[in-house]
Amino acid sequence: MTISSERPSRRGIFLKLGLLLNGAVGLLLAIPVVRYLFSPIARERKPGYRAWVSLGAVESFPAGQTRLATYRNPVVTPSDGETASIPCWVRNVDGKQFQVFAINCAHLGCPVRWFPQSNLFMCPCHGGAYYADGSRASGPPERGMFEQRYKLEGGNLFIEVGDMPTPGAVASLSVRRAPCA
Amino acid sequence: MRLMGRMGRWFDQRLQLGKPMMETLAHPVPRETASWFYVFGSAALTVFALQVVTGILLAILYVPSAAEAWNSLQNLNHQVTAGWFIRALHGWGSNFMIAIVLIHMVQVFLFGAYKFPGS
Repeated sequence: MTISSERPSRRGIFLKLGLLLNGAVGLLLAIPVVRYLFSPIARERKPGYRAWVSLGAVESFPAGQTRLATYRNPVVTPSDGETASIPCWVRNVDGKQFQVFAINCAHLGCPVRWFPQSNLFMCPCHGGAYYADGSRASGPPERGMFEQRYKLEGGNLFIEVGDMPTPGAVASLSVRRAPCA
Repeated sequence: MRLMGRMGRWFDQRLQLGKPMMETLAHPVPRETASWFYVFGSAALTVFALQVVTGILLAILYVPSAAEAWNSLQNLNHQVTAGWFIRALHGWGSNFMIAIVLIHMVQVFLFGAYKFPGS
């Protein structure tokens, strides 16, 4: 290929023109491909993100007890199946006050279990433990369990879902870590 | 622009693709072959590449089960950004690929392009 540096040759101009046209078509095709791939994080179009979801009648959570509840993720695709079911712990403090905890341990996200015998949430992975009110008791977690906002309406317990607090997003803001010694 | 040139030179030094590509492009061919009859081979390759890319994209979301297939297509067509476009591209591409490959085969056969110098 002889593309002289002094004077643009006919062949060189056609080569550049061809590259330009091919690049334009390629770019045109790349736009929908990229938008398709990034579709899951285009949140504003998804109804249900940050929605109030019912956990069932208030009577199913007796006063003074902590019960497991499950709800469906409102941001869901039909093929998600059981992976769109999310469990949480509901604590009825005194019949009026509630606490709804995300089931995930604040350490690395394992599902914690409630042990009424010892009045503790315990994590099976690394031995994290929490008191009945969700505050940290012992183990590797740096903070208490994550709580979800709730409201009582028409005899049903609703929680706000969609914006799951995670250790990476929230813990780093709310917990001031001691600098590494 | 100078940075782009330097990056291009670095990649070329590592990949060694520029020279063979230029040799292929500048390879002398008979004057008669500068004709629209010869575009169908590269057209078939382009459409095939398009089919591979869109096919992989669709396979990410399509659920090939009797219970979920229709629902996953509804989601693909109406919820996913540009999903309908990718699906249409794949559907039309399949038809066009058959047509272009057939034309390409006829062209190769009639022109005797499978014979010696081009074989």
